[in-house]
Amino acid sequence: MALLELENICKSFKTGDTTTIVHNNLSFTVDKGELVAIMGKSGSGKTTLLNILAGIDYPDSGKYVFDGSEVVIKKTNDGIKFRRNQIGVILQHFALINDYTVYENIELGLWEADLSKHERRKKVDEVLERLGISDLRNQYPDKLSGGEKQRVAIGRAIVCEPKLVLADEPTGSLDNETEKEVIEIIKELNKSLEMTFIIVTHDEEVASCCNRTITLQKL
Amino acid sequence: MRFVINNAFKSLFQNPKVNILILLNMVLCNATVFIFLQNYEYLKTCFNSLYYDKSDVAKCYVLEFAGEDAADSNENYIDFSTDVINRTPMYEIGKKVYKELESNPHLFFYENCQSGIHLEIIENGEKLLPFIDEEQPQPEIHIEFVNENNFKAWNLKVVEGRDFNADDFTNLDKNVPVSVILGNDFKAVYKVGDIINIHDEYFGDDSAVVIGFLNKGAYEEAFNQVYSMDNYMFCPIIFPRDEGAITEYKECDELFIDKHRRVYVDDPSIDLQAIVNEVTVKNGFYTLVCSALDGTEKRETEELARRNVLLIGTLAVIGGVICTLALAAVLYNRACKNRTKYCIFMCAGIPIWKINLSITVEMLVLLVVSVFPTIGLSIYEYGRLYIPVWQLFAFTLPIIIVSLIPTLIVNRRCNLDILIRHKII
Repeated sequence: MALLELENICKSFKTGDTTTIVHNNLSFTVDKGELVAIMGKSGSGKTTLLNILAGIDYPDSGKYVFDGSEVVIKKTNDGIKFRRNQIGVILQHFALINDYTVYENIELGLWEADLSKHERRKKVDEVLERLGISDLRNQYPDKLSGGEKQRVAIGRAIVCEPKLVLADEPTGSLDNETEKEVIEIIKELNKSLEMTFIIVTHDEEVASCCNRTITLQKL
Repeated sequence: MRFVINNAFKSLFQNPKVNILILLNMVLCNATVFIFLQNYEYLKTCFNSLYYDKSDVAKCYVLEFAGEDAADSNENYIDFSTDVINRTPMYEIGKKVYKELESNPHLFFYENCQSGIHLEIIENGEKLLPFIDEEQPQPEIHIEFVNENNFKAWNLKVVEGRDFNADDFTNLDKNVPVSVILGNDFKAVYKVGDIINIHDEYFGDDSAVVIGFLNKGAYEEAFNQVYSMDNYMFCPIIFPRDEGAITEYKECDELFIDKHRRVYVDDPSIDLQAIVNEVTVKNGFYTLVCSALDGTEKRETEELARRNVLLIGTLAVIGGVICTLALAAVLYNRACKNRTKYCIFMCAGIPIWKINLSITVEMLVLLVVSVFPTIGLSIYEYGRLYIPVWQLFAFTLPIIIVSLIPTLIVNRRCNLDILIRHKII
């Protein structure tokens, strides 16, 4: 069953008199529970596609259907509402708040969920346990290794149990060993929680761990 | 709202250096505004005390009896009193003259609400020992004689016991003690219901019953001074309890004897002396001399007061602008540093308006905290807050709002795309 469908998506950027076409009639479908890699050279529109999928940006034309409903983004807040509890985002540079503990960083993903403090605590504890970082709950991110930071970032992305997790180069800042660990975590989450993952990557090894790879060409 | 409150308070204790700078900025801003408002209030009070809130005064005169200001001359006062008591022709003439002058629509007689107040030092027995000045052999107490209107006009509040009622002002029976309200200092000595024996050279012996106490720090403004009422005793204006004396007092009052003898006219071309002469000639009474005060003392005072207010106002505006710019710069820098954080919040699904609201709440908390040094200074210096707190907020709040504008603009530019494309990491 399809979680998202992109149909004839066109996207271009105008810089002065020059128009750069990034996507031209891009179409693909991602099913629920899939683990998909998106690859492509620099400038092929990977991040733009990620932005469209996350509701940060909107296509010039074409149709984006998520979980059966068409996604229409007109304002920043529309994107935030669309993402809330539906999409988790993992970034290459972890995007953790250094003033917040590991626990608080993960809890951030639940602030907008209608949950009591007790329920939030329970969910965060579950995620900490699942990712094997319970002992780091009171640590601050600047004291963590790259792999630990990415686990925290994954924790924040999945704590609200989103339907889709978008990961932008999740292993880009990690060494080989840690990269494998993170990929294993993603695979495990994909399998056990049946969570859909779309990973933007340059790394063939990461792509090979996914069910499917979509390769974008530079236009 | 959980996020708004949580983030606001968390943010208050993060970046302490920046937040202390913001707080100091606000404290300075409040102090500037306070100095301006306090001076403005003070100058306004001075000005109003001169003109008694009359905006249409064109000229001011002082009426003098036989070359001397009767209100300031005890001797003349007693002479007049004798005239009143004996119903001399002078009394009858004086009454006519005053009534005729008062009926002139261009003349305004200054009626000081403190009319009839005498401050006396009297002996009051051993119970007043806490108020004994070691250098003075006798204990002392200040007494103010009040009518119903005075007491209300001064906005004095009774915090224990009861306020004066109409019966208190008509109690002429010497067997029933006079009701008195005491300043808060006396709570250490008396309680409600206590009887105080009063002895005074002029008024003779009498007794009073304590019916209530004023709040601590009660004050009265008179003659451009603030008088603490903590060690005052307030008596209804029925002393000495003698109907004749009261009638005399009222009649003196009618004769304009015991009032501040100041007369305002609304048209500068009016010659008050000519009017007075016309009236007095008619009655065979020539002793009222009018001295104009316009153009010199009063106008200069008015001008000075206005210039001072303008100067202080200008300084307050400049100070306010500097505070706004400084605060805006600090907040702007803080917002730039925090952009990543705000983008991460947005990444976690928190809308930007909640982030902005939490910053605003944080600033409001700092604003409330920043008012305390000013309040403390005012209470330390003057024993009270010279201006209401809401006036401070009314000036400082717009400064905070304006200072927040650059921050809100920066925050509007926050989005996940910036974070994803690593533009600010």
